[in-house]
Amino acid sequence: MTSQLFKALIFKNHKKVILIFLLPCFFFSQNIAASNTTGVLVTSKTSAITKLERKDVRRIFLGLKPLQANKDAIPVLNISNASTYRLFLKNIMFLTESGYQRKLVKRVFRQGADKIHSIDSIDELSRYLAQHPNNISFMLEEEALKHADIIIIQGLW
Amino acid sequence: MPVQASATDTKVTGFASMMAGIVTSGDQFLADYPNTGVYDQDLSFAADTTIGVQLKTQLFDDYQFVTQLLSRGASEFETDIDWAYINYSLNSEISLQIGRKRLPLYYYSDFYELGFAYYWIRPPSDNYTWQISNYNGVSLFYEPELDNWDALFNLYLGREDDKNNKLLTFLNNNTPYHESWRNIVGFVSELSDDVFEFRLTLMSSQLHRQINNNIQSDGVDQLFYGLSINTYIGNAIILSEFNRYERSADNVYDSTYMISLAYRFNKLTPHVTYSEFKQSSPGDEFHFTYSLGLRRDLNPSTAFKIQYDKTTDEASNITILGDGELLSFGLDIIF
Repeated sequence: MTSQLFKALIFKNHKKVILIFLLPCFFFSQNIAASNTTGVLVTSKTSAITKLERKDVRRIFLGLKPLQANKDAIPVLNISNASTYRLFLKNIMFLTESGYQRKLVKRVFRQGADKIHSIDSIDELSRYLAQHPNNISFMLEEEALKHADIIIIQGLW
Repeated sequence: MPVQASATDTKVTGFASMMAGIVTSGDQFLADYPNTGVYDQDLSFAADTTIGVQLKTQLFDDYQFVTQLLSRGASEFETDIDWAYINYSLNSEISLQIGRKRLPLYYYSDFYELGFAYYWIRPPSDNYTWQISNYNGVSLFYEPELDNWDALFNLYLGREDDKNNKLLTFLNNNTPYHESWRNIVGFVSELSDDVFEFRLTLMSSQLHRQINNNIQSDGVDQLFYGLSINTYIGNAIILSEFNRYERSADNVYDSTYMISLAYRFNKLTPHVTYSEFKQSSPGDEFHFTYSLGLRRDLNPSTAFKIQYDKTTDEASNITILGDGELLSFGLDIIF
């Protein structure tokens, strides 16, 4: 009897029930995206580098020159966090890690491109960017905001 | 005003393959055709061992000088200049290169010695049988992005003169061959994303050949064309390459192809490959190889490899080194 009443309530109000379940999920996912996984492009606070087209960010991190401005921008790979690195590759490079490495190795030794410097600590990356104003990298927004010597150029994902 | 390049203007990168091998069946095994890297029944370390150093010097804003020095065990570690060219960036997508470069006939031709870039010990031997590996000339690169695809178009012109060509001299009982490819005109196009790679290659030139200082060919037209399709689906890898060489005046038609399957289990990549070289006339050069191997990535710049190859030489008129089986292993590094 109780279960029949419960079913009747559920079916009668099924739209409300779905909404009750979905709303927390939606807000929860938004919070995660906003606080934990927002990726940004960063550089030294003394840098003259300005906002880049997304495809130019991709070209720079492939060892190619950008089509628009910031021709001297030099990429630095942030490998301090595997998850952030994978998100960058997925959202900006449209490549898996192995696919990206394959392209980089070929570009260096087949076309004479510069080897891309990689750094495995956020603090060290922040110091490196501060000392090299032509260099750009990526990191999570919350990490960028903790370091006063670097600035956010733009959001990436 | 003179322009001086400081030490900081030059960037050094490099790679090395330290390989060993032993023939387990047959007398000898020709592992590296262009450089005549041969293994025998004793464990040896020279045939596939290579050390390469690349220097890149920024000359002016858009000009760089790139050189790659290679020392091969197959050549008793003599140092060769494989690349030496000036690169000029016309704009962000187009660059012009003048000097000495690798001849980009096959998919792996211009990074043939860079073992770290592939999972074999060496690219499949039956495919990579060519006697000319470099050229002097000009090369134009156009590298646009087409949506999420990376594209590359390369037009090149040049010439190569090779006195005492290693491969032909080796295959003909040390009779000196002087091989010259003139009026080389070639085109390569590549299109790739994360899953697919397509590559088309086309080259025409004129062959001048002297055997023991006697002219055998004098300006004979030759044509090479090929297609490579590579697929990377998840952890599965399928590599393929099909090539054709034609010298109709001499009735020479060569076909080569290879297909390779691999699967990445984290840092381990087992692979299996079939490759074949066949001339059109019955009894002429015809050999094929089955390969089985494993690559283990030790760190982001070092890989250990082990590989077993079984070659069958079916030719009756033009044999290479006969049937053979080879076990080889070693390390590939980049720095």
